[in-house]
Amino acid sequence: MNDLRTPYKTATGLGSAHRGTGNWLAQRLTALALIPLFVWFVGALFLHLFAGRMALLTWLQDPVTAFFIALALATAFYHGYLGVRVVVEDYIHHMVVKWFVLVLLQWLSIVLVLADVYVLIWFTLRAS
Amino acid sequence: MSTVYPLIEHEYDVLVIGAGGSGLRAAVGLAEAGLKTACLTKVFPTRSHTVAAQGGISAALGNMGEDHWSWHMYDTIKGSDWLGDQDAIEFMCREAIPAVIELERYGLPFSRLENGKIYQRAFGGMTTDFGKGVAQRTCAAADRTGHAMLHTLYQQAIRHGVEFYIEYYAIDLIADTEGVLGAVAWDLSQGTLHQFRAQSTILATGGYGRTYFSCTSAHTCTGDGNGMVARAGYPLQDMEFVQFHPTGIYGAGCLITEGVRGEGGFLTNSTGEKFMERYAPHAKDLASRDVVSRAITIEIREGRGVGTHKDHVDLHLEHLDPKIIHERLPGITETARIFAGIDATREPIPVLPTVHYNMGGIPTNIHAEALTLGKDGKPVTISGLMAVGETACVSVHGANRLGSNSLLDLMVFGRAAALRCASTLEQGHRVRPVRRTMVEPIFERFDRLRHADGSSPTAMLRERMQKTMQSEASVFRTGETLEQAARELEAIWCACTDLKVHDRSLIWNSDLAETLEFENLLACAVTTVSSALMRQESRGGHAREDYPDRDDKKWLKHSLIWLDKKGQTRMDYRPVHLETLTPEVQSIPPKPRVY
Amino acid sequence: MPQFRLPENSRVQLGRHYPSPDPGKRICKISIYRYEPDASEKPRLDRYEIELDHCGPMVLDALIKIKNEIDPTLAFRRSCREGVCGSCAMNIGGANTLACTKALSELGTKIAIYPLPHLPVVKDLVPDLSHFYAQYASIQPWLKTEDPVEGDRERLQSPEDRARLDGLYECILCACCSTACPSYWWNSDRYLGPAILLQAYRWLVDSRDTATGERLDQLQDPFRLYRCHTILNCTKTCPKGLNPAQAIAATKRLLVERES
Repeated sequence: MNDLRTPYKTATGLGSAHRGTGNWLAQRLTALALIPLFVWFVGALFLHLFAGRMALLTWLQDPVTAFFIALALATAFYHGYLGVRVVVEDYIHHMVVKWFVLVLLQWLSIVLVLADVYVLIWFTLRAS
Repeated sequence: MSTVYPLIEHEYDVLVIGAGGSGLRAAVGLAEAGLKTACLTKVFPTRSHTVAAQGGISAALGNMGEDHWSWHMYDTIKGSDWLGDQDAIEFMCREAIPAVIELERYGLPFSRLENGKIYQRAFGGMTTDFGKGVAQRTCAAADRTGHAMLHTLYQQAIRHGVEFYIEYYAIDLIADTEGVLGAVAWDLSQGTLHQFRAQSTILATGGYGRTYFSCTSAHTCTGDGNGMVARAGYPLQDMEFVQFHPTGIYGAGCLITEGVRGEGGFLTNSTGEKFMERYAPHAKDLASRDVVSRAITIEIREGRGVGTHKDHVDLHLEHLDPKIIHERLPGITETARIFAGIDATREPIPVLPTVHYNMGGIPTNIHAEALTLGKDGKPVTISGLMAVGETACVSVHGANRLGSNSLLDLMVFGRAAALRCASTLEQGHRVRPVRRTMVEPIFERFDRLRHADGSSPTAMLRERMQKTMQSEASVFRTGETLEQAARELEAIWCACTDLKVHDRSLIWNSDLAETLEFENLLACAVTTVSSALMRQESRGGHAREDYPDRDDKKWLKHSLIWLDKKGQTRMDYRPVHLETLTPEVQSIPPKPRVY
Repeated sequence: MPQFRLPENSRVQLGRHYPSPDPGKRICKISIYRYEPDASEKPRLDRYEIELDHCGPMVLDALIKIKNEIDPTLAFRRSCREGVCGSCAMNIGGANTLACTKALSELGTKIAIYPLPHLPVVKDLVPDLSHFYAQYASIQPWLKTEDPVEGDRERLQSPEDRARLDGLYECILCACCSTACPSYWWNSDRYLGPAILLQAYRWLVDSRDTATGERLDQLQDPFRLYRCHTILNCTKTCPKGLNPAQAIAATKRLLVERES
């Protein structure tokens, strides 16, 4: 391949992007945030399931509940996006394919977050 | 049969062969001076044998108490058994202080004292006030000083943009009657031959420990520089002086630093006696290396060795605080665990005197310029050739080197060589053209060995040589054993016409590389034995049982030896410089050497 | 996409067999990867049988025995034979380590030896490390400081500050860790790998170095640093017992510290 390039040229490449800490930190922080959010969500869901259908619906239609569920899902999607992005960067080396997949991933995450918020608002509004 | 090899030509101001401590220090200095420099090395720089140095580098910094470079100079002269040139020793000991400061500035991670200064430990033969007290003079980075130093120097070399030719094996010097013009080297990874032309060629190829069967030296310590110089028709100096390190691990031969004894370790025999008290009542275990090695050999010979075969002694450090061991001797505890299978904080380490260092080598002046004898019998410099480090013989170590003076030698004379080039060479000055007749013999030798198709594999002859040296040119020698060695080496030299090299390829043909190395080793072995046979006295590392005393009347002189193509040697001598470099210190006249 | 299967001309074939002349003895069967660059053959796995009673204790002793007595064409790097120079790094029994400090007795009677993984092979057990060395140079591994020094003395450093370099400066650049790292396998062109990051950290924590900010700037990159996925193969395989993973984690922590 780059036979006539010096190894130092290859090693220095395009230089440092001077970023990466943000994404890395966000991935850890979202992981941390997801622990209480999901413990709460799964725990509360089970409690209300056992309390009967009406109790469950009332709980779900509470705006505070809806807010936290939206938060949990949005955090999960963002966390997932960051994680999959790393995997894509690891394994896909073709520039065009990589960027296509990354943009697709970003859009997919945004759409999922929006859909999640929309559904919860719709559900809460319908109840009132 | 001879193949025509395409030759890739290079021209530089200076060519450095070898990238250990001295080669790198020279290369850094040359790059700083703006001279176009190539540094050729058969192994990646940080794999050079400097990496294995443990104890430290000596300099009278006085961090641990009063010290002065003149005391260091006295110790070195006494250690050398007065064979060292006093002007060179003065130069080295004086330059030691800036050399260590320079290393610290380069970033070497020295161990530190509470006040933030460099930690210094006691070492064999290092005293204060001309022999009165024990000096702590050896600056250490735990017990990995050589490793820390080599990496630091390589880092500086990268910083200064030194041009490296890595895994290039230097085959021979290009020389004619007027001097040296460069060298021919073989690029192992591409399999091509290269001609380097330079105004000055600095050999920094290290020692030749591998002439012996058991040594602390790396597999790559094959005396390549000495071999090249001998083949080019120049002399080698003081080759009979081979240092045996008292504490090589029994069996494996790996080095256990003298720093162990500097930190309070001691040796015992089978009766549990601290026998060094008998041999060196004053310095005890911190006597000079030759003294301790002889003492161990005598103990074993007289039946007081330990182990089933009573063939080694014990080195104790288990009485030391484990915290100190962990902090200052972590490397040797690891080495003892791996190679002796023992926990050094609980059990003694089995040790044996093991070949460690070559005091002899290419004669040079204090500017690192290589010397030969002129027609009038006086030393003259060889145009275009310099040597530094273990391959050189300045001579600062004389008949016996003190521990921690070796790393110092690398730094001081590596720097001196660079400064000399900077002051005498002109950037971009054209080098005399190389005539085809100068390189043809080099090709011929390379090609002959590559296609050698006899019946004696290199490994077999090499082992024969190593075993001969091990048994006949050991800690103690006699005229009889040395004559036996000379006869055997002559037979091996003759057997070289019957060499067998199996690998005919050019890329990373290590069979051929080892054969080229073997020829260098054999040149070193022959010159060592011949020089030793001639020197009828005992001095430093050269202990003749048939001549047990030092004889300053006859032998206070450096041996010079030439080797011809048939393996025959010719000796001559040059006087030891007893005068000092400056009037600041007085010459130290020879006197009995007791520790 | 990363290539998961070796290209056709790199697939290893069964090679020659050198049986022991005396099968009654204690025998060790060693398979060694062989590749001859001059010949246009595929790499092969040669099998050697050596008598353990006439061999030194380490894998390097066995390799030297094979080279001296059975097959002098075998090529491998070696120098210090005591674990400080880093020449004889190779993949032995499935793990990267130094042949000179790996005891044969730990490996049983069947041993497979390959060059360090995922590097171009020059010949047999000799890999091309030039990219690894260039990456080392790329982190500018030397003391950078703007501090003037007083007089002609050494810079001062407390024993505690010096102790922070322990476990870092001992690295021998053998490349065992980097070539054991899957992330380095896939992205060695841009990821610095554990060995180089350990060295980078060595300069970050040197109390004498004042270029910490500049060094962190150079490291802060999704590929150079953040390809480390804490797989920890590096720490597991390091023949010197160092912990590159910890150094990388500490570097990431410094970057976070700087952010807030």
